[in-house]
Amino acid sequence: MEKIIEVKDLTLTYENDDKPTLNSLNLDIERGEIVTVIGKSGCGKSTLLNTIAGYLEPTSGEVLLNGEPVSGPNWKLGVVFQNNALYPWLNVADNIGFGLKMRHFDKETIDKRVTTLLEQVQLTDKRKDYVFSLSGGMRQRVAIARALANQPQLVMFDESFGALDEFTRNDIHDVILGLWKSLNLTFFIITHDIDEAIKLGNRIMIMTPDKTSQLKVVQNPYFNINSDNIDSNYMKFKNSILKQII
Amino acid sequence: MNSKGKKNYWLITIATWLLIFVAWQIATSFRMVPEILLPSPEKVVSTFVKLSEYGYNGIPLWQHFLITMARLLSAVFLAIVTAIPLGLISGRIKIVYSIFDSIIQFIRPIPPLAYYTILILWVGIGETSKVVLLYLAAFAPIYLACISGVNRVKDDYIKSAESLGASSKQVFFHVIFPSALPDIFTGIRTAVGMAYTTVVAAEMVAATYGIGWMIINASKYLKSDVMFVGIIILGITGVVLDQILKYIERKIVFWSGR
Repeated sequence: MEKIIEVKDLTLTYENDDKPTLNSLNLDIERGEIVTVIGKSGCGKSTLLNTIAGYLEPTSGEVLLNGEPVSGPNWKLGVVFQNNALYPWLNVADNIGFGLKMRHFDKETIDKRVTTLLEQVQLTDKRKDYVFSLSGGMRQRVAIARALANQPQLVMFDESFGALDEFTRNDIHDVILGLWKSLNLTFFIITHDIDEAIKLGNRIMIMTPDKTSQLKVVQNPYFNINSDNIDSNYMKFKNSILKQII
Repeated sequence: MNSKGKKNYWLITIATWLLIFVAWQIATSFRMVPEILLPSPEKVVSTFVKLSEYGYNGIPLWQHFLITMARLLSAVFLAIVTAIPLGLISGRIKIVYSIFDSIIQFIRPIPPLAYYTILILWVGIGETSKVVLLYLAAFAPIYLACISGVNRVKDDYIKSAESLGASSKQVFFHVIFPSALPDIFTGIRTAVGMAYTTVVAAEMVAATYGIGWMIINASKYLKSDVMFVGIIILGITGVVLDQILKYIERKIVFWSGR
């Protein structure tokens, strides 16, 4: 499989911090997979995402995108934030087309791509609405569509569904899995919800505060599991993950 | 506020003003206060009519009013076009902030009258000194509001714009500026208020027209009815100006607080 992201010996120590938050970390993300990262609060999950996205400069080591070093934020690396970070002064269509407009695409191309994305996230009738009039789930769909508009190589989610209720979160999970299947996308999802990590991740990475081995990779036999199929083996699997996190 | 709450608010406001008016009428009808200190409402209305017809000191009342507004609005306009870019840049670039912030913090608390004479010496006795005085009063609130607006821009707004392919310039114009607009409007409304309270001071020295000058001039001859007309005009105009600004704010910054 083709590697999209290669993280090599990544170390990041924040200023005024004597211990590194990320310590000699290695990971690969392959095209077409969904990697979920789970860990306790403060273990460095968001730091990892921010470093891969180019928002933070590593103290040592490197992040490669298609073999090229990531030197800063980049449209090829889409990010969906927890509070969606949509612009309230723009309507849904303008929010989704924001990146394309910044990249000087013509109006026709922007309109076309926005229309397609609105269909894919099932918000066609909300095109002209302002984002503040939408529900939390709808906003998160707009944020996903906005991140996808640039057709990035990788879309990263920074605990993007944490603020949603369970029903809305399940809907969003279905939207994400539907997009992943139909568009052959690659996702990197940070979460603190074990069920979410299991449902969405082809591969689960467990992040621990243990400085010697920060990432434990787990193959996930329960990817895209339906809640009706949860059995005792699933619970054992979930518990084994929980134990590793603690 | 729901519609019932709004209705109650207006009822209470109207009742308050009616009460003030009735108390004023009673106090003057029963001569509880000498007329020189508090002219009757009828006297103030008749003076207003007279001033509208014949003017004050040979100048029509509307001209006094217009010149005051022209001084005020030109000063506020100048403050808007200079303080907004400087404030936004100061909020974003620390070196610019270091240069300008201490100067503005130094000038801000000084009462305008304290440096008015110096201004007259520097730029002359004409309109310029008056506009500059009002400009200085209006500048700081807008400048400081812009800095606060930039500092309050959500980090995620900037990060997401960067990861969507926006350049630094695009982030500034498409994210930081609109995001700071609610604060900028608050600054403009405060600035209009500050300039408005300074307008009488600006017209106190070496002026021959303007509502502020009319009030000061009338006070020299104890024409309290003229002073009341001037004060009421300033009060009503202040409220109207604020309402206009609030209306524009609601139209432009419709997302604020939502």
